Parts: sequence; C-alpha cells; structure tokens
Amino acid sequence: MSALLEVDDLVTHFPIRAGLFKRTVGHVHAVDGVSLTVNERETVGVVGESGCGKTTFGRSLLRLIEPTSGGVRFRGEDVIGANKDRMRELRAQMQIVFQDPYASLNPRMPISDIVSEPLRIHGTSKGEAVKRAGELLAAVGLLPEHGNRYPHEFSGGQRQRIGIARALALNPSLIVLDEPVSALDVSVQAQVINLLEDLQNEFDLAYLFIAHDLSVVRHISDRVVVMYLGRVCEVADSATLYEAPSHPYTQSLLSAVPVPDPDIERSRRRIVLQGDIPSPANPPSGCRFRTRCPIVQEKCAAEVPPLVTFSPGQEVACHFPLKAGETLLDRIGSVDLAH
Amino acid sequence: MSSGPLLELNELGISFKSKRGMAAAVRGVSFSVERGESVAVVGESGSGKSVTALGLLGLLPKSAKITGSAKFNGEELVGLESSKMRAIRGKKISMIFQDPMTAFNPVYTIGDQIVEAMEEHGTAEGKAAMSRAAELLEMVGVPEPGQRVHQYPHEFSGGMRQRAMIAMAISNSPDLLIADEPTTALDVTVQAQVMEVLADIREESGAAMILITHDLGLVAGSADRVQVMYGGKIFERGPTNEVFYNPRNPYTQGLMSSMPRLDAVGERLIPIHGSPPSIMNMPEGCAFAPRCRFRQDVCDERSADLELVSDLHMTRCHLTAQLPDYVREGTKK
Repeated sequence: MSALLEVDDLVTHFPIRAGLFKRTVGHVHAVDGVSLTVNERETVGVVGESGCGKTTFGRSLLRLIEPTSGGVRFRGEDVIGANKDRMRELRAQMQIVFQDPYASLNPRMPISDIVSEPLRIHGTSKGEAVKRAGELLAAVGLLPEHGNRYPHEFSGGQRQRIGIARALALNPSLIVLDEPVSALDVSVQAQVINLLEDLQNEFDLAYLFIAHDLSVVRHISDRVVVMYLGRVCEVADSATLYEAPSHPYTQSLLSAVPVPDPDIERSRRRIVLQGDIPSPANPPSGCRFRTRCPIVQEKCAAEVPPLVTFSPGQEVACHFPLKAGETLLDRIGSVDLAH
Repeated sequence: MSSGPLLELNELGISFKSKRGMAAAVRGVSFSVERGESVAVVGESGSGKSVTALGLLGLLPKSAKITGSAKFNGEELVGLESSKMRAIRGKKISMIFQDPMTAFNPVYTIGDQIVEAMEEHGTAEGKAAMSRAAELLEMVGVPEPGQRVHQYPHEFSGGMRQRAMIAMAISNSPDLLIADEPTTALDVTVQAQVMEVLADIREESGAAMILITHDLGLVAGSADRVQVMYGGKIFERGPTNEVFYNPRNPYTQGLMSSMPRLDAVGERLIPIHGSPPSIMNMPEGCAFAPRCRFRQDVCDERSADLELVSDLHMTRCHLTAQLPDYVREGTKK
C-alpha cells in the first residue's frame, strides 16, 4: 500500500474578533495538530462529536480553509505550498462531497451542468462535457436523460448522488466525504453507502469519510480516526476500534451509541459521560478529554498525551490507555457511573 | 378517571389544505397507550409520526383537518374547545420537542418559563414556584440549579436546554409525556445522558411516554411497544422484542436490513430502493408498494388492513402468509 495523502501536524485556528476595531481576542482551536495517512483505495473514517474539528480538518487539507500550520502531501507533493494554478490541478485529484444535498447544488442549474462544471473549468469542450455528464449520472444510478432537470426535482438521496457524480467528474483519487449520509432517511442512507462502496471498487478511490455516526463510519471504513476537540484520541482499524478500544473517550462513545437490539440495549452497562464538550475557544490544558474523563489523573492536566502506537495498527493518545479486554467500567470500579 | 387506556386513538386522520387539494399526512391511525408504558412511534420523514402528536394536542394550524377520535382518560380531544385543551396540554400531557433552542422563548429566563408553566395550571405560584423550578432542574441533572434558573436559554448548552425542557414538561406531573425526536439535535454522548434522565423521571413519576423517533436504536432501549409508521399509516406494531426479532412487514424488515450496526461488521447493507412517498403524491394502494420487493398486483390496488400475526403483533400487508421468515440479512463482503 502506498500513501496517497499524508497530513502532518495540521493546525487550523480561527481568530475571534471583538470590539470596535475587531481586534483578535483569542482563537478557536478547531484543529490542533492532526496527523494521518490515507493510502490508495483506502477508506479512512473520521468520527467525533460537534466541535471536534472533523469538518474543518476535511476542508483544511483541501485548502478550502487555509490551515494555520502543518503539512499536507498528496502523492508526495506539498499541497500547502502549491500556487493557485497548481492547487487547481491538485484539486482535480482531491474532491469533496458536502453534507447538505439541498444547499450544495445550485438550484438554477440543470444537473447535467452541475455535474459537468468541473470538466468545463478544467478545459473540456461543451459537447464532451455533456456526454461525460450522462455517463457520470448513470454511474451513480440516475438516468442520463434526467440531465436537464433541476435539483428541486430530486429527492435528498438523489441529490446526494448528484453531488457524488460531480465529485467523480475529474477522475479523482481521493474524495473527502463530509457527513454524506447524515441528512438522509435510514432506508436511503444504505443506498448511498452501497453506492460509495461500489464506486470505490470501480474507480480505485480513496475516501476520507467524515461523520458523527459511529455505526456508519465503522461500516464503511478500513481505519477510523476518533477526534475530540481538535485532536486525535485514537486511530485503529475498524475491527480493533470496536473490539479493543483503548482511549476512554472511544469507549464512552461506543458505549453511548444505541444498538437496534432490545436484549443488548437492556443488558448493556452504559458509560454515561458527565458534562458537555468544552468550547474549542478555551480548550482544557493537557489532555482535551480530561474534564469529562472518568479515570482522569493529575498528569492529564499537566501534559498533553502524545499519539503513540499502542498495538499493531492502533495508536492512542492517552496517559493511561485501556488494555485489550479492559473496559472503562472495570477501571472505574464503581457503580455510580455505570447503569 | 376512567379505567380504559390512558390514550386511545381511533382512526385518527389529519390532512392539510394545499394548492393541489387536500394532502393527507395521517391516514387512519389507531393505537392506545396504557398508564405508565412507553410506546415508540418510528418512521422516516413524512411518515406522519410528528403530525399525529401535534394533531392530538391541537397544535396544528387551523388549515389542518382532523378526523377520527383521540380519547385521553376517556375525554375526546378531537374538536375539543381550546380552553379545555389548554387545561390538558402542559398539565396532563406534556410535549418535549426536538429543538430546545426554538421551543424556549429567548427573552425569558429558563426559570420564568418553567414557573409560567406551573402558574398556568395552578400547580405552584410565585417564589414557591421558582424554588420548585430549581428543584426540577436539579432532578434532570442541571448543575447549580439555583443560579441556572435565572439564566436565559442561550446560556444553556444543547444538552442542558433539553434537560430544562424535560424539567418544564414534568413540572405539572403529567400522566403522558410526548417526546418528539428528543435527542436528534444532540451529540451521542449527550443523547445518552438525556435518555437516562427521561428513564429516571419516568420511573419516579410513573408517567407514560410516546417516543417519536427515526432511530431504531433508541427504540430498542426504551420502548415497551413499537408502532412503525409509513405514509401516514401504521404498518406494523407489537411488543418491542417481537418487532425487532420477528418483523413481519416488508418495510420494517427493510429498515432493519438497511441499517449499519455497530456490532456487525463486513456486511453489505440491503437498502430499500427509491425514497419515502410525498404526502402530495401518495400511491393508490399500499404506500410502500413502489419500493417493496415482494410487491404484487393487489398491492397497487388497495391498502391492506392491519392484521394480527401473533398475540399483540400486527402487520399491514397483503402478503403476510407468503412472506419468507425474516433473517437479518447482509451478505459478507
């Protein structure tokens, strides 16, 4: 396997401006030192709750938001240092599909124009672009003859297919999928997930799949990155993440996800985290998760835990990681947090 | 107090006037809720699950036409005059909405709004009401309730606002709580907190609950019985275990197979093709027929009736006798 995308210590801060002269009074630490690698034809899932920086991360590596510091390399080439023309060429290789299928398609453009617009920007002739749009629509399971219809004539699931067709237009090798199915009904979600899996095989795509839904992320991903307040807590292959999660946050997150099985739900001892996610404008010192962590110790406030290899294929950023088979509940050893 | 069920819907129908004629959102829904039990109403967008709840509480715009019957403690709610409805709503039946940011008034403090709910129904007045509001906030796990009663909704996080809404909903000790997607706007770790609060509150007060949701995972953990809605009708109902382990309706089966599960990996999902029908364009026969893989001619002609398949378990399908046994599908990748 060869690395397609390498992200090294990516940081994206947003200034907070206040007062008459809009002076910068602080920064929102949206992404605070995230490193990861996506290999050719691999699906890497990025999962986390609101404010964890997963969306900003996805956009920063395409430079749709300029990162504050850090490195992004695509097939070994420096993306951050690329000039405007080179960046446009690089983006042909790295595409994005947005969450909201209602807001991300221009309502005044017929869908064949929407899908072929990237081609025309990159110099394909009108006739060729229209022909290719038909092929792309067919590839995502829509009828090519619907090309002259407008976005409002399509359902949510169909619109998401249109967004995917547009992302495919320039034959990219990597697609960043930012919550691609969370606006869709359950029965339609599965259609889009299956479509993404089929397209990956057909076009040799790598995906960076960003979502809050752990079940969906685990289903589609080879490896999963768990983020919390701008940092990575844990990276593991999908099976390990579920069977031997090591970071207390990963275990809590897994424990909070309801499973559609009444017997399991009734017998489960659930870890219910206390409190809310702190503001990324004023993140806690040391480990970001320490304010909600049930097994927090003094060291956690003082030192930032580095992301280190914990077992083959599993990296964890925790001073007191949980061993394989050890649950957070065992470690807590008390009943008041568990139900 | 009558001895019958707490709430009994009988052929409830709700339609809206539109430019293209009447659009039926709820098309003959009948079910009952017993005292203290938890009933989930599951469905996708446009299934009519929320409209059913809003309709029985008289919270729909005047253009909505409501037919059939909804009896609460034996009293008919459909067509009830608004002063009488107000005496029930917020007192005997409370509602918990999805989005606590829009459900609270932003210019009054949380405490004032909980007090208002109590004063409206004469539960408590003035200072006593405010200290009761603080107690209620404490019950639902809001830290420092004495200070937080004086804060405004925007000073609460999403999870805390939803707790405050639950506090308001239970302020008059209702017999029935209707929770409409109570955790959809929340992060999953906060969702777990709020569902826990709801379960504790119900255990303490003995209130019944109707949980309206699209999330089958939530249903599995908190409902005694399930009603699966599609296209404005109930397609399947039964005790939670029956519906989850032995779904008899092709739509329910399809929903189960199309969901990725945290505890299963490597399966290919089996989607339902197409998308849910629009209420403006409801199929003639069975609402699910255009998407059903077992569809036959009779399905396009007329909707089936809800029929018993086993004790308390009902399904609406012409083909129940011919359907293969359900096994959770998923082919290995």
